[in-house]
Amino acid sequence: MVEVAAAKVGVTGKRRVYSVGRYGVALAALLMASAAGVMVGKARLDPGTVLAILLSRLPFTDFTPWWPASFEAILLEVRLPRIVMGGLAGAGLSVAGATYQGLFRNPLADPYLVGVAAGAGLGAALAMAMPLPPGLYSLGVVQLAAFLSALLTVGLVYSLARVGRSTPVTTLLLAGVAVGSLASAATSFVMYSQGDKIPVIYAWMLGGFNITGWQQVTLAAPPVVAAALVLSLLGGVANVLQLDEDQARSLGVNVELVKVVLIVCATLATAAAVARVGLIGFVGLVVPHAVRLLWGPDYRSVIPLSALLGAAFLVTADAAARLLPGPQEVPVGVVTAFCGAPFFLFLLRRQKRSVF
Amino acid sequence: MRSVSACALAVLAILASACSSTQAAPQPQPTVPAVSSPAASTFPMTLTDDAGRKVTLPKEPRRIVSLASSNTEILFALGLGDRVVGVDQYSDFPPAAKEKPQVGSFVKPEMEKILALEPDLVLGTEMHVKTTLPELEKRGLTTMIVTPKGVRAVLEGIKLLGQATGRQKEAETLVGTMGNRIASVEARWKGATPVRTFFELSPELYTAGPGTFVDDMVRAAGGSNVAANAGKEWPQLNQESLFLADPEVILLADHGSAGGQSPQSVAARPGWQQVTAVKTGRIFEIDPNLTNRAGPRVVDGLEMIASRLHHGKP
Amino acid sequence: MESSLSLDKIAFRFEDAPVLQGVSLELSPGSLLGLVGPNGSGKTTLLRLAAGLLKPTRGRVILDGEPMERMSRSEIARRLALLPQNPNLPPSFTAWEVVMMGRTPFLGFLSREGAADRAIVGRAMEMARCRHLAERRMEELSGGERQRVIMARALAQQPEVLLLDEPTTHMDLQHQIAVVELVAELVRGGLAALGVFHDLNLAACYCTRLAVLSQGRLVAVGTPEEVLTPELLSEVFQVELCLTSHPEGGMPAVLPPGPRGNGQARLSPREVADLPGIGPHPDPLPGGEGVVESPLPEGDGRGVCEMDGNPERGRLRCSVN
Repeated sequence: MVEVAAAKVGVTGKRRVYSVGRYGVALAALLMASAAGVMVGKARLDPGTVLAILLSRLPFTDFTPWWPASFEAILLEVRLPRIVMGGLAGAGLSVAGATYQGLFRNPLADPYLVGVAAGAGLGAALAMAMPLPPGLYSLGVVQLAAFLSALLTVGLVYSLARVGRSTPVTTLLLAGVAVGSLASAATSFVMYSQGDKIPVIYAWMLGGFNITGWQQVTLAAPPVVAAALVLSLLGGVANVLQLDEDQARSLGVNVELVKVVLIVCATLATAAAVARVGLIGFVGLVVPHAVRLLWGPDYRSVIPLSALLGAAFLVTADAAARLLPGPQEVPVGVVTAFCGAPFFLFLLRRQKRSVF
Repeated sequence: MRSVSACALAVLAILASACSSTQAAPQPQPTVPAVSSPAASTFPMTLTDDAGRKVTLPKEPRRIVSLASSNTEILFALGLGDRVVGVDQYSDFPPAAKEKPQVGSFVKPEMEKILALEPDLVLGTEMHVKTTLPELEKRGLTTMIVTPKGVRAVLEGIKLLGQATGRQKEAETLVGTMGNRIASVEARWKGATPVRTFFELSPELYTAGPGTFVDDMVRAAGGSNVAANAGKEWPQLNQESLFLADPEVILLADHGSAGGQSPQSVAARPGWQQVTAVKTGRIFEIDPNLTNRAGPRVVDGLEMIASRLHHGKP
Repeated sequence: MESSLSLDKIAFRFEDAPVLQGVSLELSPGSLLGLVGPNGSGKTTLLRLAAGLLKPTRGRVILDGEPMERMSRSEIARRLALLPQNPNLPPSFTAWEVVMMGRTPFLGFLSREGAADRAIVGRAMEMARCRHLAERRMEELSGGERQRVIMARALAQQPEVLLLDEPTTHMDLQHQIAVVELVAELVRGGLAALGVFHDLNLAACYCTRLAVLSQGRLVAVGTPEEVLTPELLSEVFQVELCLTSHPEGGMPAVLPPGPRGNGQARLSPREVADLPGIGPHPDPLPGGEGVVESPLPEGDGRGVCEMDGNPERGRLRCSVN
């Protein structure tokens, strides 16, 4: 055995993974975003009323409502679930993006690249095209189908990409793109052959937070939170995967198992988010890179910080979207692209070293 | 990308709902004597169509292809059913229209099928101005746009089409009947407080905004469209805004398709119980064919909307 | 002494093509076994089999008395470290972070390292002479520096067995020697090391034993002196080499065949001289003769080097007893 344990070393190499600073910043960002999200919306409720409505729901408080019932519905049934869903979707997409990027050692990897998004779309389209009893739809059968189909798609991509006992990253990406295209084509076919279902399918694919209720939140939260937790814990392994698979194996990582766990969790997070709110671009790609630019490439912090910042980002973007005048819904994807792209470019220009 | 697709969605929504529902019983057709009127119009003739283009018709059209169900209905109502040689896939009324050869979808008709029918007039809408019609004109076909944007504009559209097909007299008769019915609805509810109305195209709250046919119909029927200031023709209405607007009537055009909505399912949506329309039970499934097609049945649609909006009123 | 790593009648086929056949090797603590052989002889495959990265088609790899196929990856990694030949290293990670990855098999599920791990990493970097690079990012390091970081990472695994895949490729001579001397030092401290070597001289200088692979078979195992014979070299490498011995350690040293060539040249000096663009040689050399530019080592009794003519610039004839 090589005796290297003896010497005392200084703290030059100290890691900042534990330091509260970055988590504090990210958490503060999320809290501020949520507070802003509660306060702003198409309905201009003044902060006092908002607080009073919120407090009136707590036990041992006694408020005689001076506000109309619609305010309560707007705040408690529309705005709050919308904020929570935005946070969940932002966290889920960002965590998935960070994981895919790490897993495929490819800075462009995101939920679209591995076919998850297309798979979810196909599942949803099929569920809407099939003559199912209407009751099933209100139970969320479309979302369930999207989720299962996303998992199946990734499973298919993964098994197609296997070469012998290993799954090379390049074949995985190629298989992802190919299967994704196939799923998109199948979706188009379903829409084409079910002409009268086109609008419903299309409206779903456009997604958005407009009709998010607590039921959707309770369905989306467990998978997103569970996946984000597991992925955060696997950050160290994700670091080792940045080497290459042979090195990771020789450092004691069960690469095949880890890859399956990472893919399943990232897909879970993506599908749970996408199945509720549709496809929101840019978040999964940009947030992990922003985290890397700000706080370095260590996946043990990149993944949890991506969750927090991703949530903060999407909540903020949605709040901004709701600030725009007019009674119509502005898709949050427009705002994410408008805010995200310049911010990302700014960070990129400021720091000229490689970030990945 | 999303806003573009949102537009496409809305258009598709209209179309698809237009062919999905067959619940409403066909209204009696305005009967037009099928006598070939001696040419009140003389050919060749030059007209200005709804796209502001000068269209020259060398002779009375005898082989007409209609790319929109609204125009198909007008043609049949003018007694020109036997001159219609091709229709788009959504032309399903009157039933005889379904027997006509189809030339593909409304959005993207198939060029070859149209050409094979050797039409002497192709009728399109606003939708086809920039896409299909230039292609057809390049191949020497005569094309015309009839695309009324409001209830009364339909009357003008019918007149225009009557003129172009040598059926001016029939058109005048039809327009007269329709005009009377429209006027009687308008007169009945003029001055009354407009009924706040939400016209639901999809459970995601896509709706008809300003400048749409639906918007105009709702106004003519004594209502006010809660999405009237939504900035674009087919907006998705923000749910908070909807609650603030507090519609008194909700018209469901999305009850027929997958995930179909019903008054019960709307009433069960979280937070909707405080909406006046829900509290008073004024949520109605409507036949979108009557509200979306700028054709003769627009009066049926108008009367239907008026009856829903003023449900229970004397 | 019980061997740390043993390969027991290993055979490996890749898509029906035999790559290795019937290879058996024993690696004991305190020994550095050099694996040599021409390109394509299966050296790297053998090393990957020994590292458990490939599963043998037949035969077994036994690590520390336990068949490797029954061990988990982290169990293997706690005892055996691999120094890969051309490792991918994430450019934005610091050297410290990369070396810390060597602690992966010892960390729990949460992968949070403790003070002990940091101490081990610091020491490993000192041993590999890269402590000063700790805060540098991988993209800023030269090839030699990166190799030292990888060496430190392997040391941070505190391995009993160290596998090296051509550890000195792309390195300056000084770094080559530093790396191999470090390995030799660790071996003297009880490490068992198996290295693929391209450079026969480096292998002969530092390895306690050499194993020669040719066409997937082990053709010789023994001390460098036992293994590096002219017959074996010419058979395995298909070239006449000049074998001599190191002036200091006395271990075999292999030189290119010398300016005379070994008779295998496709072109005669005449033909070379007449190649288009070169033109007729103004002063044709007498056939088969050449010039040695450097002074020659003294014979040490093991082999004999003879000079024809001028001792400074003459013809060399070497033979081995």
